[in-house]
Amino acid sequence: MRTDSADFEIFRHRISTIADEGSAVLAMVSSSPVASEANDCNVAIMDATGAAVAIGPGLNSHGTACMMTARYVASNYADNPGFGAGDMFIANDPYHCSPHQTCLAMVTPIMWEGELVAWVGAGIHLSDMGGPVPGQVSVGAQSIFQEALPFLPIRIVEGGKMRRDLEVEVVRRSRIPNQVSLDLRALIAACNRLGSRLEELLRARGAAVLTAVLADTAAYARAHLNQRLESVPDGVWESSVWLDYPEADRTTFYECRVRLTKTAGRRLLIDLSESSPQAPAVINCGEPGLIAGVLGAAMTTLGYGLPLCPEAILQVCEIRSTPGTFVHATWPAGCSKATTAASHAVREAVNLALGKMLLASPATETRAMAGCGGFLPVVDIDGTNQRGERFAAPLLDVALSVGYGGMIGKDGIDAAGSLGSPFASIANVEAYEYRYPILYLWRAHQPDSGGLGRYRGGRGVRMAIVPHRTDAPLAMVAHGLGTSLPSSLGLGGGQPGATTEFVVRRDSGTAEVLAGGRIPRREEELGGAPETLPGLARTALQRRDVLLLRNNGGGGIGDPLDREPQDVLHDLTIGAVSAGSARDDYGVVTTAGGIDPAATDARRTKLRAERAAPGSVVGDGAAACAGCGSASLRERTMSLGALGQLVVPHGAASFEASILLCASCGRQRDVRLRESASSGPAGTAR
Amino acid sequence: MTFSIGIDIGGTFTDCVVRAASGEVIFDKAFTTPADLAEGVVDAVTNAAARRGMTAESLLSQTAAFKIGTTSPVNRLINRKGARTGLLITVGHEDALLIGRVRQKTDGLAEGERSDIRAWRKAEPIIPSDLTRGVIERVDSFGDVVVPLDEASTRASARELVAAGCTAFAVCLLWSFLHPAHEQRVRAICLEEAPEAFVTISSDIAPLLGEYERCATTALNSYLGPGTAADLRSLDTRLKALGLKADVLLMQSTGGVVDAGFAQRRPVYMLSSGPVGGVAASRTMSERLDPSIHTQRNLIATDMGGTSFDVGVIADGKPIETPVSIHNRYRILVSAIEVISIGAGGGSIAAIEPVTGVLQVGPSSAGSVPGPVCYRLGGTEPTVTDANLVLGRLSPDRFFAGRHALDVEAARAAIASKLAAPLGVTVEQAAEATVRIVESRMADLIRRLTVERGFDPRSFSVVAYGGGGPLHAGAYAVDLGVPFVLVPVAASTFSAWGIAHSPIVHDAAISAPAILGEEGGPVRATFARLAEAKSAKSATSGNGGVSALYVDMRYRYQMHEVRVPVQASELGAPGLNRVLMDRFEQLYEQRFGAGTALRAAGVEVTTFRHITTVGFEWNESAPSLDGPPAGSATRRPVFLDGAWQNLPVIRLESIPATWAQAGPCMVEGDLMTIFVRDRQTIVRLPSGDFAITLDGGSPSGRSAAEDN
Repeated sequence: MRTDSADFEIFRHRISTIADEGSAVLAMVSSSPVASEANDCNVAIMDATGAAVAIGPGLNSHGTACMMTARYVASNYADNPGFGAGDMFIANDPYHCSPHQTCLAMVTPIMWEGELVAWVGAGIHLSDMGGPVPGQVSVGAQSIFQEALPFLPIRIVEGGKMRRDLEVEVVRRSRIPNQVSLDLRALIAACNRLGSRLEELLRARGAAVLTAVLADTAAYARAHLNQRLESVPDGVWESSVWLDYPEADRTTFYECRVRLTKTAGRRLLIDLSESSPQAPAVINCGEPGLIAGVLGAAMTTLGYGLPLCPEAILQVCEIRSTPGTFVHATWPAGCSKATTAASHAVREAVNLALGKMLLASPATETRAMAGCGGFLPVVDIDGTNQRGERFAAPLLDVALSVGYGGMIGKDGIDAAGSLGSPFASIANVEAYEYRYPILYLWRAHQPDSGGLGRYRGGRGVRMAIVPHRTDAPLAMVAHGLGTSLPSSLGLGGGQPGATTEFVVRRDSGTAEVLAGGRIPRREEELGGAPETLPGLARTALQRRDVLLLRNNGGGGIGDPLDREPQDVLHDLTIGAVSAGSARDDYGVVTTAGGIDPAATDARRTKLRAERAAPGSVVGDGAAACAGCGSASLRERTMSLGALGQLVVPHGAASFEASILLCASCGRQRDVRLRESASSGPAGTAR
Repeated sequence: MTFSIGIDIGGTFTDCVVRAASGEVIFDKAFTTPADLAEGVVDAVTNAAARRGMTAESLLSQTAAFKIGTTSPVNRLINRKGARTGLLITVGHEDALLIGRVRQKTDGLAEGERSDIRAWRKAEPIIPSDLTRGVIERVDSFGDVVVPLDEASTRASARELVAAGCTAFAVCLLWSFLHPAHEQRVRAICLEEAPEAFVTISSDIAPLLGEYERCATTALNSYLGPGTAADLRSLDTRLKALGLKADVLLMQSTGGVVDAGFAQRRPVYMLSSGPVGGVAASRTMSERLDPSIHTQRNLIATDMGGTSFDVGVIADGKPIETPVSIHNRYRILVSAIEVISIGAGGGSIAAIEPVTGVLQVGPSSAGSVPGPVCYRLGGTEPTVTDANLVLGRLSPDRFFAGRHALDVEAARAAIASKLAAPLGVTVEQAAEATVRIVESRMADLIRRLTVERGFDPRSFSVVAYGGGGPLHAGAYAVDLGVPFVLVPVAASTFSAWGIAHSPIVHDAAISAPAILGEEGGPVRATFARLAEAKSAKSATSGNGGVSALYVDMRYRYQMHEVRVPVQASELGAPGLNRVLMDRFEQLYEQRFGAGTALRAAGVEVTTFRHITTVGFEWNESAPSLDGPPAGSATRRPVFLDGAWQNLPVIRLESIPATWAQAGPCMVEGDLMTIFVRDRQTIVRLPSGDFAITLDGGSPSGRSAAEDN
């Protein structure tokens, strides 16, 4: 520690209060629904080298963007154009600065007595930054040139004043120039607020104390991370998350492969270098998205209860990757959807690998969490609203109400949202119906969507939307990967959550049903022909159509046959699982009076016996089974569709599930996805 | 002689303040009796009456106003002791209360839990899914009926819920604030099926946009309704039996009181009434402050108790309000005086963080049981109170008016072994570091309600009350740069004092979202509608009083609003919309900085508010303060800024009406200790309260001016 103990405790907290304040200003001034509802914005306080020591409570990827942008400016612009007090730089370049082009990052140096002492920054997500397709996802793009064009840092504010020519340059490219203008002001207001608070601290205690407190904050968090890592054994853990990218007439599968090595040096090597080669556009992430993905997992899974300090995580983790892979894309591979594609795959895969490591020690097992919510599906609609005004809007409720993964002793949270943005909210139905020409027939928890497990995954949500008081068709882009493959995977023998599904019922006749005084409650009550959309689809919603959305549940943790029968009974009561799932997946037999213990035991014994029958012993090497102590494993394969009532893998015939069972007692130890030997025509793996 | 009485029921104590028509004020406490709160209330009244040589009966029979802040609804919510409640909600949206806009999982989390995923969880449902029924009906965003109410199926649902044992109903239909007829009909059906049931409809309790929050408000109101009504009846019966003739008035989260009959129909309005009492008291205090205190209209109300530190802000004479408050993870649409809290009180535990060896204070607390080590009630971990005692800032034999001796040696021993030894410092240094950390936390919390909202603390005074406020305010005031600290003479029962002085407040709010053009729009019509609704609702409490109008405004697509005041006279004048937009942008830039406004983005109005306040005559004469002559100061060693200093200790009761003393010094009363630091001066104000002038502040009171 460089600071006195009490000083450190006082100023560490002051720094985090300042970051919170900057975040609050940013969210309040922003007009971007993505920022204000999803909390998809954040601020960072960095040391003089650009190391992000403190970030606010919003989405953490913006902290990475600030760090990368500040470092780019420091390394490349020191002499030309230079930087000084009151200068602010803005960027959205996905290779060097921001996770993707719709995230803007702004940074400003903090000068004290002529010296650079720190950086502060703010980042925000905008609904549209231009390019051929409205919204963030450039469907059909073959390179970054068919996406929103990126820019490297521009000195948009000089000596405290925004340059009008550069503001126009940034705003001009967007379909929603007023929102971009307001959000530029939000970024400036946040940077100003952070700067003036740090200057108060500098006036009171000088640059040396600020520098020391920033260094000590990272050291404090790092000491805790090291101590946590000491309580797990050394070892290697692997995980894979597959991304299904539908283009034109085929789906290509990309594997984000993580090999996590924990060494005696209390460090982690996170190796993603064997991930699939990059795609032409859309789903990749560059280095900022890669780092943001790793931080997103590690800060939540390892950094619980600590100051939000990306720098401490980066001091403990070494990230290895191969440029030219889809998780470390190089120019000119497009990255427009990075945050809900490659960067998200990184976060999920790293989270699973860390979860496996944490499960290896009783001291840390309650910190492991199964997969969360898949790829966060989003629907962008635009058109003319009920007041005759143009609108362009992402329906974020479908993205932000996915289920969380189960943890030991705690089921996944139902309708929980983005793991990286714990204070995000979904808009009220009334808020969306006020802004957009739509009516929600329902928005409700989806039964059977939580991944099966001893502690089940959280439920996702289902919703049905009809156009209302608009004659024109609404243009629509649906982008939700994870329609072909489960994308929130289980852990420790738990199973994946439901897959995403977008369905349009064309010419449904719902208006007539409503006019007749009835309100449909379920899909089966709707007319019209169902058309299942691919995970990336550009279509139009006609006046007589119904849009049905189902997002992902979280993954389960532990063998579902170990779930407490009373918990299954409770799930039945609240409608979280169906009677079929309780009986067939959980092996629970109920009577009018509750659980039938004897019949349940018998049923579970029978289900275990059925599992153990086929399959070959694949050898030892794993940790001992918690149930019987055996380390011997047996493998069984099954179709993906058998993993859960709502795991409906559209167009992924080439994949199968590999289940590792305890060879002795039949407990499920691990559930993985892999390509089967015979590759189907519908998809190709990279 | 007539009296008015203010009661504040807290977790440990029930406080009673009695104000006589002569201006005389007496106060006392009794233990809170959780099983039957009325008992503690009667005890507190009895104790206070005894101080004036009266019986409770004779005091109550001469009482013209009896006002009380009760924790009954909040206790029922925390302990899940509400009514069995059925929820009737537009079909297809039955899960809205459970989904809780997703954010329910982290709403209201304490700072230390925010990054701990295991602490995130949704509320334990107050209405389970099997007591929820979909209502077939639909209204759209224009308030037009898309599907008419299906009465037959609604009646069947109501019957099922009655059969399932429901004694209360909550009705929340989409867009009901634009078209309340469906909800009103559902209420009628419920009452036909269960005439005794407690029914709340959302278009009554919170006619505001946003079905989750509106539903939560409605559901909580019904859940808490029957029990709260029973508690209030029991209290009323007890007091009437003892001779009270006046109506019982209930403190609301808005900072005003309403009559019991009205209050029991809307218990959600009482959920924040406890912490609000002190802010209301500060507001009252601001009204009678000597105008020579130039910050009299801007006050930061700070309350330090045994387990928490609460802050509210009064800007330009008005408490800052919040349109939404969070209770047990639920968001409630009750416009309430905003109070934010952290777990920093006298019982907060100081400990060495084992991994890094850093000294940390809180958030864990020893509370009042087992309490600090020095209480000798079984506490073993050093607390802020122990640190204050070791530093000589609390007197071991004068604590709680000498009713409870404090063990200095036990506190020293605990700090020595648990803090000083591992840190390698002296006991005094460890204790002073503990106090410094907790004081900086308080300053950080105050920043959240001031600088974060665009207020400059240098134009505010701190009001310090609660057991610990007057002891620590001198430090956090310096940290914030405020010029004055005000210490009410009734600091230890300040919330009850505030309740005793609270006006009757009626508020009404309604959503009518629209984009504001140059002309037209909903502003005039909506305010007219509100005025009508208000006069219908508040008939029981009489009319008259002062009305204030507000409209919440924002730029299009923003989620956060700015509350813009409107003068009734402006409603009839031309150019109204432009006036509102100009005022909105002025307030907006004040908060977010010059250049942040952007009218081209479009301006929206959302919620309209009409607040009526009926104040009380303020004819309190200055209390008689001529006690024994000053100069009865003793001295004792106090550790300050790294050294022991022999400081004067002045008995509060001995201080005359005109008095000033330069710090550092201690002022000790029966129930509070004021710590005046170096470069600070304490003066007695004409009201009997105290003001501490910080270095750089201007003269604050008559006597200080004379001294200068």
